[in-house]
Amino acid sequence: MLKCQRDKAAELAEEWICMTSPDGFTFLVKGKVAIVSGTLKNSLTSGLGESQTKLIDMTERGAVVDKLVEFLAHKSIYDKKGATDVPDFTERIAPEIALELLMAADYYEGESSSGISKHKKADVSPSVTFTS
Amino acid sequence: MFIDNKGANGSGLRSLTWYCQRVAINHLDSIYSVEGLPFSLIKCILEACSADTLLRLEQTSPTIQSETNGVWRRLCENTYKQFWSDYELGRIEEPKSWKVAFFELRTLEAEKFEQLGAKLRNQRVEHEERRKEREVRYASLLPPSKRQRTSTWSQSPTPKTLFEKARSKTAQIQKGVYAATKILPPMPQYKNYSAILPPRTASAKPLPPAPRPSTSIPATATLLKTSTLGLHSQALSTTSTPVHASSSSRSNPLGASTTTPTPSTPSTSPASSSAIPSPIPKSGIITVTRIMAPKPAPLETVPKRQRYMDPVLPQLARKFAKREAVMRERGIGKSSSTSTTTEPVASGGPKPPPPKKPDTVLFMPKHRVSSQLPSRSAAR
Repeated sequence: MLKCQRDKAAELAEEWICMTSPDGFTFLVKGKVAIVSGTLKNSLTSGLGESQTKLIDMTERGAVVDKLVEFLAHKSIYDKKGATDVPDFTERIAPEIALELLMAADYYEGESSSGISKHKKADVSPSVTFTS
Repeated sequence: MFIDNKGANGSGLRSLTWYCQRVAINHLDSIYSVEGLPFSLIKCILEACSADTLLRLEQTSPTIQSETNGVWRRLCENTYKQFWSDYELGRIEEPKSWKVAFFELRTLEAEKFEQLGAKLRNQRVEHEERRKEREVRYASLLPPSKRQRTSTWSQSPTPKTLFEKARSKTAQIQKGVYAATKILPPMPQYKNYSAILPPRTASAKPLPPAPRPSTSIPATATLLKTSTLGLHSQALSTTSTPVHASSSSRSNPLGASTTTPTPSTPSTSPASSSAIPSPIPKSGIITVTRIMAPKPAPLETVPKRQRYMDPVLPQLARKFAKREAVMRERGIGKSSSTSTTTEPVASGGPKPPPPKKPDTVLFMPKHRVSSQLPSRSAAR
């Protein structure tokens, strides 16, 4: 199962994933950036409809998704072994969306595992971190 | 406090949750409510809040009130360390609500601070007052003297009663008014006078000869008017010799004459030297009979000193003046009886008063004006 997911993740790295927000924003994200989020990786490698359509419907509003995607990209670049001069992402977060982003980050940073649904965001432990 | 989830690769990259919590802590005052957020996510944010902010968030997010006891506990631990130490030592029991305990401790602390503040305020006020007392103040006006100086060197103390004040004021007035002009009566200096004799001219009448004891030359009568007012000073003649009266003059009421025998002429009768003067009549006319006496020596031969500076004559003049004044006051004076008669010259009696000459004044003070002298016409 895990091998299968790894193979699928390798295939998704070169593909584009489309993320849409309820307020009409659409974000095209590289597969290797999207799979930084464990939750998104699970949904894209589950073999369900989203893995086939490559289309993910977000529940957060566009500003939050934007920042989320930005962080995913930031992390995909600087989350490497021996990386130096990592810029501080605190300055890039607007305080107005801090609490919403906190909730989104708490949900989408969950370890990629099967069976975690989006509706149970409150149960997600903050100690869960994203895994590559 | 923070979720320190560094990157698994050790890159130092933290999680998005961590970054979001840090941003929320940095902007706690901007957070209105944390309703809907899981307590696990906002716990670190609430622990970073102050008591007032926490109280506000509890009020806006009632769902977290049941879960903030631990936060209040941590607040008590961080704020009231003395109390926390007592709690850890077991002196104080665990309160049921750390939130209530926190506010109770806060009230006690406020009261303690108020007491300390009042104490410090009083100390400062006292210090300010002491400093003001020591300040040197400059005044343009002298302070009013509380009491007048009464030194022992002063001549007279300040009067207190009304009578004393009036007396002191009158004394001051007297000193001030009468000090400059002191009116003192002139000292009687009998030697200070001088006889005023008529000048020796050719037209002047020769002096009557001195009375002779043997001959009976009719005496020329001269009347002497005496003023009643100036009787003391100018009535009598200034001759130094006493007036001698003869016994024959009794029958001659009008033909009496005043003679001024020289002192060199010897008295014819021993009684003549001490004749008792008769009382002055009311008319003021005194007639003195002339006693025949040897021709008197000229005035130039008589020593001046003997003529003018004889001390006996002024004394007699004064005495006669006083007697005249007394008699006039009493109203005594029968002009007929006293005007013509003259007392006989008794042996051993007082000498008669010297004849008065209008131009001669027995006693004339220096300060008398010449106009006050008896005139020759009035006498005649």
